[in-house]
Amino acid sequence: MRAYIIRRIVQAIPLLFGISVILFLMMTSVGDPVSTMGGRQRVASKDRDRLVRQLGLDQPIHLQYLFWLVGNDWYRIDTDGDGEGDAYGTRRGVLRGDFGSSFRERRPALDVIGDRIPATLLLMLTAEIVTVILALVIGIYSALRQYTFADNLITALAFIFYSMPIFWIALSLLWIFSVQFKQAGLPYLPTVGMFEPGKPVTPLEIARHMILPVASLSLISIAGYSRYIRANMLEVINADYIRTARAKGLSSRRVLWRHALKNASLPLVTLIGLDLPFLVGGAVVTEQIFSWPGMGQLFISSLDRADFPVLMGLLMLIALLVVVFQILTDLVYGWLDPRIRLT
Amino acid sequence: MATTDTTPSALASMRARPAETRLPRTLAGLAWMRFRRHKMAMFGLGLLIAILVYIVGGSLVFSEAYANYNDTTRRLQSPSAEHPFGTDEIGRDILARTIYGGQISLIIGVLAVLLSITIGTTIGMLSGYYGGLVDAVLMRITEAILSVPTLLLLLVMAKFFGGRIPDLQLLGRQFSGSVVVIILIVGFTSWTYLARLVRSTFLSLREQEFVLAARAVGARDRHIILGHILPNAAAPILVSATLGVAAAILTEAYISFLGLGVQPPTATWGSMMQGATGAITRGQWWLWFFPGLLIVLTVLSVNFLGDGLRDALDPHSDKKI
Amino acid sequence: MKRVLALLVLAGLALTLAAPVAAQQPKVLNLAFTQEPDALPVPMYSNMFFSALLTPLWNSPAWVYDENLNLIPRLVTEIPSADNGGISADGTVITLKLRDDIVWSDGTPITADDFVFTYDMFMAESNAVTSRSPYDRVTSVEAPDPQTVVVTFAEPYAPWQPNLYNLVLPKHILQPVFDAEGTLDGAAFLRQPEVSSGPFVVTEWNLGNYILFSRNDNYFDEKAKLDQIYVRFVSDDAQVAALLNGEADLGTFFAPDDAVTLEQNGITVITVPSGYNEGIFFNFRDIPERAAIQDLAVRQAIAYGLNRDGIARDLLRYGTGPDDYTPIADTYWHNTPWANPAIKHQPYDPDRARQILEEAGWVDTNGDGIREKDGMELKLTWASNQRSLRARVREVGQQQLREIGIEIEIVSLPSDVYFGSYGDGSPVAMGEFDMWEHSNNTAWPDPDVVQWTCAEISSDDNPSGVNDQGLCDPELDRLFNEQARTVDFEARRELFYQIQQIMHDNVYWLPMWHDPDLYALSPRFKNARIAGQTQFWNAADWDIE
Repeated sequence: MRAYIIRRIVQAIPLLFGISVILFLMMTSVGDPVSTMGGRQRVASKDRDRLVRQLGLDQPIHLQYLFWLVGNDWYRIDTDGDGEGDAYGTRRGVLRGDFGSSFRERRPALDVIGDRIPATLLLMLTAEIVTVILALVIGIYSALRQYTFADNLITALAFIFYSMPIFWIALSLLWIFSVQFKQAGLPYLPTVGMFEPGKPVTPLEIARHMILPVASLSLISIAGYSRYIRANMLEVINADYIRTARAKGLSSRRVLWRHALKNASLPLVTLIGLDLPFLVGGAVVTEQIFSWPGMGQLFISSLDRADFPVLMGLLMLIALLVVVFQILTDLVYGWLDPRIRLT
Repeated sequence: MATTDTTPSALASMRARPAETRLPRTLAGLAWMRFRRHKMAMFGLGLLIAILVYIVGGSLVFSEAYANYNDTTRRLQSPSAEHPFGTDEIGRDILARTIYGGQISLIIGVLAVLLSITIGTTIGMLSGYYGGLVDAVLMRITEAILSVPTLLLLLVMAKFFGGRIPDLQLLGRQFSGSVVVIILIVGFTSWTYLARLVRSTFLSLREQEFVLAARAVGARDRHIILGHILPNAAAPILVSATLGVAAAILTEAYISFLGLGVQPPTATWGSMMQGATGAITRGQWWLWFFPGLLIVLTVLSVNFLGDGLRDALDPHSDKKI
Repeated sequence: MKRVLALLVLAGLALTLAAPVAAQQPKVLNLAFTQEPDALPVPMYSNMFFSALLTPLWNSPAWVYDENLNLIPRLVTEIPSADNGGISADGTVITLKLRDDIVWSDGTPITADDFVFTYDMFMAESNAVTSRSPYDRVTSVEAPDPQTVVVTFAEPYAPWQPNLYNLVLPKHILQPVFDAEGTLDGAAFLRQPEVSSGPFVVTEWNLGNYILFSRNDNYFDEKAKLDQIYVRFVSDDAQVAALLNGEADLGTFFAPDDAVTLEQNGITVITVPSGYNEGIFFNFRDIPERAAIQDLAVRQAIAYGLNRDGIARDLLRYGTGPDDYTPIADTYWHNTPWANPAIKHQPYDPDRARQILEEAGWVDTNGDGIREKDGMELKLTWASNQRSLRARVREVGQQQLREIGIEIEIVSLPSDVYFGSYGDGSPVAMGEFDMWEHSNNTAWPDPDVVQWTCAEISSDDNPSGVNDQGLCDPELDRLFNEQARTVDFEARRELFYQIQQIMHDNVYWLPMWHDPDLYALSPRFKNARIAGQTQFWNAADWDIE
């Protein structure tokens, strides 16, 4: 087991290195950070030439990557535009914990990202927990009552939500529970943000602001999760060993929770393991619509402005978490099903 | 265990070598009989046929030119006798657009999902069954693909193609270059979850008695993978396929929005939904209701079909039909 | 705040922040912005529209424009002019006379030293400022006494008014920062200015949520009527909902259709011209495949063949009244004192468009509905970014041009690609399209624009050039260069009249619609006199009921 973990970690190093190279190459072709610095105006030629030099975008791509990775404090860069290197750079590189400065906000990319993590985790973890719990309940209920009216109704509802774009769900909720409820004189939910400016920030206030975004995120993912759970429960329920257990006189509930659920949980664990790293990445559409100050919003605004340092930091963080959670998922497999041998 | 019974193994081996034996006709007949008795499956089949009739038959009633004809003086009209589904933001008939949009959306939905299922299942199978180096390499590739957001990939491609996809002129209008590109993009980026799911099934089954037994009697790997283990992964594959159809239809809209996909004025269900964003808060419900309804119905019918298919092929669940 | 959230998340602790208990209800105004500013100092560290909007709240420019574009002195005693000796005879030296009662919010006087320091910071090589305009044309800024600033330009620079000293930095705060860090790039001042010279101070910037402005009690002019202004960052859709719900008192940048919804619900929608006009640019580069669009007849046919009035009337409404739509621009300088009144846009006349094409030899000989000439089919590409209004307009235009025998391929690009430069390989700048469409303005309210001069043609030698059309008309070039050096209003306007005539006659640019900024104002919001430049110039006077 220990050897397996060590081997996976060793494999992760070239993997992350490779991902960073691919992402960096994509960054250079995803957009032009300087072209959007003029606001509604085109950037003037002189300003453009200067900014490209000052931001280090005039360097060849392999040097830019090298500076990103190990810093440029060993390299004489051209600060005054005369074409000759005249001063050592100040960047220390990712390997020494420096992800560079955001082009937009002119402060360390890691600070920019760090500021968004609490709000994102609060929203996403809540939504994930709500999703998994409700999906388990719905999926199991549906499987136990396969092809009854209730099952078919749940199936239809699940697919209605799954088939609609997330923006439709979010906007409809916003429209009904904020605008229409207010116009009808009913208690209504706030439209934007995490809390009301000028009012005390209480957990209750934040919770009130979380209802709509969490509902949007959950409605759409409950459908997916519950379908997998239902399908897998059906397989397991009909399997021989469950029948045997039942025949031996074990109570249905005990069989269900002890045997069936544990064996049906492999796909669930797989899905959660795949989803967890992306929780940190936030929810792009939902955060945008409800003005939630999270990572999804940061990702989009950084992408719009081609803010490489922030994007690279964010994506490498996710890549790292993907790798870590895949290792964890595989370890959990071994625990859930001792027959699985990890090699 | 489920598959140690003789019937599924036999069934599975039939699937691996369908040609010479006498049994498959009987088994296929048995499966079809079960399928026919499956109410929801028949309902799904009926629904899907109705949708196909709608999008194919409808195109005999309305011309594509009519579906794309705009007249801004009649924009945003609610449903009426003349325009049963209303008109959109530049005064096009939504009924006609759902017909032509459906053709492209269904092709994209089905082909992209087939591609994605094929890749995901293959990689999951190989990785889970062989383990070791194969697993390490395939799963590291999967993780790398997981780590690159599709959105970023799309933007890079949008830039690479300069907003224009060269027309392939393969099979006429509907199969223009952009549709192929969308199918490839969706297919190649959406298989990672399925690969992990299939792999987990293979990991848990490859050491079980029936697999060891098959190996002991000298069955080839291909036979064990396809015949013995794969049928047990049917549940995640079918769910992922049904969910995938909806996802593909909606993803198309975003890809087209980036200038990589179906170009205006050609309609798709996804882009009709996308175009109705502002309509939600303006109360113009007909802009999103009809394409949304068609997507939901399509996905539901595919799902019920999938359920029926699985039940028909898995004799264990027959008591409830 | 950040720490509170972190605790909430990590430990789930129930924390309650005590509310500041106010004796009487403070007057609080809520603004809804659909984008969060990068930084506050404009144009130094941001050129975003939303950053620029906020400037008059916290940083008094030397002068501001009112809603009728009259200049009002703010830090100066009078607007420099030739008559009061503020502009030298050769037009290169501009002298600012500062008021002697102006102070930063910490009580420190604002002096000419701050103006010199501001110039130095714009020009410092270690500051990666987003724009140096207009200081890169300045040879020196001197402070002969604390109330006099002498700015010397290398050559006469007509558009100095909207650009000069709309930002003044506090030397006593930032000089120590610059000395210590060697740059202002990471200064806290970018988001949390320690001092303000406007009617409000920046109290808090809660990233991703809001900026809180509070009244500046040391403001040197009449103090603000409001106690606080919250600027909240919202999505496009939530903005409309927030306005309808009364959670926002001002919103901007919404779709024309939303404007109608807002008006129907009692929200006031106003249009403020800011010099922007939507129009089509054409490709004049010497590329064989682009030859058709260089035929004047083709461009004229497009001008007559597009029902621009119909598009404006149906798609560009901002209110419920019959005339509440933005009209077509007649020239690049539409709705400004520089517009040539003799020039009117071509009316919708498809027959005339067909006739023009026939006479020029564009005839449909093979019966496919598309005209051709010398073996070249009249198929054109029409590019823009992904804004949905532009997509709709181009779909309508595509159908109208097909009716006169021109086939249009619509191309939609991501904004940063569409607006990218030649050096960055943007397909627009590289000349890959026949027509492309966006909204542009001038050095508003000054009429200057450099996009049409030969020197600005983007190429391998000039990868940052802004003349992507590749148009070099010697007469037009001469007129543009001459107007930039002409300070006399009448003479300069005459030059612009000629420029517009040439652009109209040759259809070098096809105006689509006049593109004013839209603002939505809540019923309780009083005294909002929003200008087209220094938009929130009278924020001190803003009030709520």
